[in-house]
Amino acid sequence: MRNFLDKTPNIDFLKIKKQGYIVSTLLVIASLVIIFTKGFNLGLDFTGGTSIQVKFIDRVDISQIRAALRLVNLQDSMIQEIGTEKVEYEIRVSLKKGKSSEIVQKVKKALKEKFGDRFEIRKIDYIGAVVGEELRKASVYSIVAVLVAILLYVGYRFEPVFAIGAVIPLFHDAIITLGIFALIGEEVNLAVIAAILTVLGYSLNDTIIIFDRIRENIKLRGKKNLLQLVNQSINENLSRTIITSGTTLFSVLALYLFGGESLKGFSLALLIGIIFGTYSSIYVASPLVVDLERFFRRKVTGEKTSKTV
Amino acid sequence: MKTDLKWKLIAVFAIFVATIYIVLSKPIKLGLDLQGGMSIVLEVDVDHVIKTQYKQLAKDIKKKLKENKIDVLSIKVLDEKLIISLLDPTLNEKAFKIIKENFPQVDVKVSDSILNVSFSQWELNRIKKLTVQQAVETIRNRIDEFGKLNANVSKLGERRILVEIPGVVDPDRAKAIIGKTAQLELLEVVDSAYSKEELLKRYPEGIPEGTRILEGIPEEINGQKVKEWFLVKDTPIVTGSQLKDARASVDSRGKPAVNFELTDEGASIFGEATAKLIGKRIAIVLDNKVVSAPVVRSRISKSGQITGDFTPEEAADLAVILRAGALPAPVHILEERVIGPTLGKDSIDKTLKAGIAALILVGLFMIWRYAISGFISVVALLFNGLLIWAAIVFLDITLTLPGIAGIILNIGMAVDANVIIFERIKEELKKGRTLRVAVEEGFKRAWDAILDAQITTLIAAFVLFQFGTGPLKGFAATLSIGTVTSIFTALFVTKLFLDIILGGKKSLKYAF
Repeated sequence: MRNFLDKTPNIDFLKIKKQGYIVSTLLVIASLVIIFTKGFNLGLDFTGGTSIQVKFIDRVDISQIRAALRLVNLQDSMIQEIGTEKVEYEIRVSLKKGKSSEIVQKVKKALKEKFGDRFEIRKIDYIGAVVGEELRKASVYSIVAVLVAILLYVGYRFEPVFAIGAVIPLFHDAIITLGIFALIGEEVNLAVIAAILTVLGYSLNDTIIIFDRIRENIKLRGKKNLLQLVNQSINENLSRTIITSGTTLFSVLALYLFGGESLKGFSLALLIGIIFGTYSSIYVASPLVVDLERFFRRKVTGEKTSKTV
Repeated sequence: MKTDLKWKLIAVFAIFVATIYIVLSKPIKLGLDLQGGMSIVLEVDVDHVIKTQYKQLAKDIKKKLKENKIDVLSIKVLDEKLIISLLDPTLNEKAFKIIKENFPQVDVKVSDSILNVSFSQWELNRIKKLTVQQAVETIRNRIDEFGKLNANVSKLGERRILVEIPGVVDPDRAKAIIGKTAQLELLEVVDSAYSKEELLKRYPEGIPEGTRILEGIPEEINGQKVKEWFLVKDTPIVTGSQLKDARASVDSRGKPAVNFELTDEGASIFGEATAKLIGKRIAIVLDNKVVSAPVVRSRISKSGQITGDFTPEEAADLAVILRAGALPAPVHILEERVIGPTLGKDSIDKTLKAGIAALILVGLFMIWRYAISGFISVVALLFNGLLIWAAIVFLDITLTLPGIAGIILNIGMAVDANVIIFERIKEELKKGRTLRVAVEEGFKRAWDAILDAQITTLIAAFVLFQFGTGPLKGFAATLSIGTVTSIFTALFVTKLFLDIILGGKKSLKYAF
């Protein structure tokens, strides 16, 4: 049992590459549709506003909190439960409602009136409009920066075909992760963006390990039967791909299950990202290398023929 | 044991001892998200300072031109330049030369019949830098006046300031202390009225040159709320910079107030001025609001009193702020985070649990899959944890909640290198290689893949470090440290232990 995958499997991954492309394309399109129609539940980092995290001694319902906030005319604030024990909530008030210190006073007053001293303010965050806007931009820039840097690095270490083959799946991983976040309405904040950046760097690891093997095998046998060679490289590396992602997933899972509410979104993004990253390095990155190589070769030979004519 | 192994072992042991020494030398600095506290990002309104500087420049230029017998028709003060028109435009060239010679910090252009004067880019940058620097120092002084708070005040980018105060903080009070400009001015009152309109009506041709209108603070007279408006001389007699001391006290009616004392220089200026103003009023102005406007009964030199609607605490805080000095420019709060102490403790407890869970899961898996080598990789993993800790202490990095997450994530990532190597060794063993050869081959061949993989993780961490805000920087930091240290533990340390255990053996049961 402990020696699973010790015998090199012989799965024809590339036989089903068309299906792989279709599934991935559909997933990406679906993600984009959800992102653009439903939109993100953006975190305070990006929207700006005041967020107050309150922990109650007794179980409390959202409606009770809303009723309390009605006393100070803040009943249309966003109230989100933190955890599942109905004792901790985040109250978020938009920038339009006035100065943050006044809002905090109002909320405190309202809660005091309704719940007496049986609550504790755990955290207050205020993000101004300027900062929210900046962080939104910085997030997009940083994702682009990572993709470009990776493209350059892989292009430098491998052939350009490999670089493109490595980076396209990263878009795929990032878009699907964001799509799932939009779908389930999980908050997208700075920590989630950080997780996605990490996934971009990490999910490339799997791809690189396979590429490395492909490169090694090309050195041994040449590019002649690339399809079969890539397929064999994936198979030879299958145990590695699964185990390296597996151990990292163990860590992420531990973080997701035990790490507390503050890290939930962050570890969820890592979880989704790493799973799709592993999938994409087998089903997207490797087939892409084969197809891109073919495409470019045909182009080169095509040009040559046209020249001779 | 071979000599080179012995030396390697001694080296690893020495590193281990050094690591332990560093870890024990001082505790890890915890971020505010773990220990509770308050952090504020302020933006310094440097444009305000530049505008003030232009006003001053206008005065100085006018004076200089007058000395040279050039009469100025008007000087318009705009946000980013002065427009000067002379009574006799033929003197423009001469004025140009005079300004150029006497004010090296400005650029002058003559166009048509006017002179455009603006600060050079270099001067603007100097003003901005100086202003932010002064603001940082003033805030630091104010916080220091309150005693040991271990606060951190630092410049953030070009015109921002980050203030971090650990522990339990009253956010409103902290903001009042940090964010108040506290610009104290003593001004001569020209006129006053109980509404702005009434005051303006007295000057149908506009208020006299060199004066401005200021608002008083609301007060109750005979049960009616009223607010007085003042027309005051533009140039203050003395300002807060000429303050020697300020203490909380009570006024004649027993209400909280702040007594202040001027420096010797300030006192002589103020004494001279008040001697001429007996019977008239002077306005005590704090941040452009008249807090009181007493009538001068006799020559006042050294001390004065600020009264207003203060609580005793506010009076005490104001005294502190005045002692520490005024901010060179108004500041605006861009971002503010307050974290209660219980949340931080919860976070530490929870992530500790997650870390142990990750370690057990990963450790058990590695031993299950790779037996003896798996065990060695777990030892290396623990060593890696120790190295990360030491690096955090040594590099003086603040450990944040995402930072801990980075370490936990690293538990799963650090063994990746070992997995790649061990799987390769297994593969080589299958091909019928001896243990010795398979191990050598495994480490050699895996090197490229591992290096590439770690570098891409570092690329992501590096970008994150560049753009991330406070706590996320901690994640980028621990992630990169762990990635680097794991190369050492997963390759060098693991290889060393493997070599020692395997010795020259051709095969060993449960080696992999």
